[in-house]
Amino acid sequence: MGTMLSDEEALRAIADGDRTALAVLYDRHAPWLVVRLSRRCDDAGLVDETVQDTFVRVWRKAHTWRGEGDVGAWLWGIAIRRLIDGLRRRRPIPVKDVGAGRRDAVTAAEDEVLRGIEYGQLGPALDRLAPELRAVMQACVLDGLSTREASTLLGVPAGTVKSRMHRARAQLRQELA
Amino acid sequence: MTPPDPWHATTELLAHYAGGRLDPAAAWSVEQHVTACRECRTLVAAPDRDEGMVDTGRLDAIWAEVEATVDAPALGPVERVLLWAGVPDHVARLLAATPALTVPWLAAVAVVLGGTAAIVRLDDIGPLLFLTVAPLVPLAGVALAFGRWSDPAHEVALASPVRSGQLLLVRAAAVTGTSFVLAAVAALLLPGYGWMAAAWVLPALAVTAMLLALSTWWSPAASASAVGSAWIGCVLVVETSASTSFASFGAEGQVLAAALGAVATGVMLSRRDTLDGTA
Repeated sequence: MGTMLSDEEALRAIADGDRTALAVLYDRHAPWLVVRLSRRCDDAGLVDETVQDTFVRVWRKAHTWRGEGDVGAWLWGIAIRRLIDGLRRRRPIPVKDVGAGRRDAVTAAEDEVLRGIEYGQLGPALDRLAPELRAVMQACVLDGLSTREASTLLGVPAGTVKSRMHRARAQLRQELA
Repeated sequence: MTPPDPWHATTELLAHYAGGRLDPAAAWSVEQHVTACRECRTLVAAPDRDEGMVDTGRLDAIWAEVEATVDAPALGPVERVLLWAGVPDHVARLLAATPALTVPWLAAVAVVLGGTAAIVRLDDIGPLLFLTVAPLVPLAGVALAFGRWSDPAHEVALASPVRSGQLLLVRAAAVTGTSFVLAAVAALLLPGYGWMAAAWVLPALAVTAMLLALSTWWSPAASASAVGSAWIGCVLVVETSASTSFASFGAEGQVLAAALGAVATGVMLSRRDTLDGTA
């Protein structure tokens, strides 16, 4: 990967049909996309398929990138929606119980993350949320999905997404007050 | 409050994240950061990919699929319309590869039918000519749709897991359908013949069914020649000997066509297994 191509330049080259640029972008972004998608879907096959779909789409739609914002965020926007499309085609699937990971040996790491970021009480408050509420927060806030998209991703009705989001907000508001 | 220096995730933190061992708040922070930070993304990927957090073999496999898809030829207009209409992609590919569905074929059919319908206005024998030619269109189409000499995908079709008899039927249905649409449009050009303008429909179905039935013994091309010649012969004999004109398209003719079509369909369905061999 000796190339000095920036992500933005790579996208423009891809729009002009440059396959090498697509490979560069893939080498840079595929790994974290695999990891992040794996945290939202237990089905490794579907994650692989989603990453594949994402880069095929990048190849075909690179010219639609408006040149604003971060390429990584743009890629994630494509990837999470490809995942949701894949889930729609493949119901029923195992849905990851987001945030149910172990809690040991991470306190130091968490401090590290929070250094310099004005989280205040938010981190611990988020950790105290019930897993299903956190999953909804992750889908709606962090991934920026619509209620319907979140409902497909999490495998619950849209009304449930709304009510859980409401409960999560209420709980956070109370804890942070 | 701006942090004193840009924050970056450590390799250890990223490893915890990749392994799913981070608290939600921390994981979310890492995700937001990695999305926008080139250095930390590189840590996940690992420059030489030997120590990356995702298995190299897995990444290479996905990339191979991406390349294969990107290299695949772009879908033709026919295939795109079929996919849009909800046809499964393997059926769409087989249909799109049907030579008879390709543009030259459709253009030729349009010219023949349009020309025939135009002659109708000039000549008394025109309508008879049109009614005789119209059933031959789906007949020729179906025969062309599955010939080793006209199908660039013939070898592929033989090796495909779809039974060739089934393939013949799928393509026959598609070709018959499009031919009927074209013939119906041409029939609209027939001036003032009322229901007579549609008198070719049952004969067309009958000859197509007979072609498929005969194809269980002979090759589609030979069957089409036989059925086509028989059809033209019938019309000539009946029209020259009968007292009224259009006798072959009257009530008796229609009933006979329907009966023959039904018998032929029965024969074809009972012998459909042999279609795999002849096709």
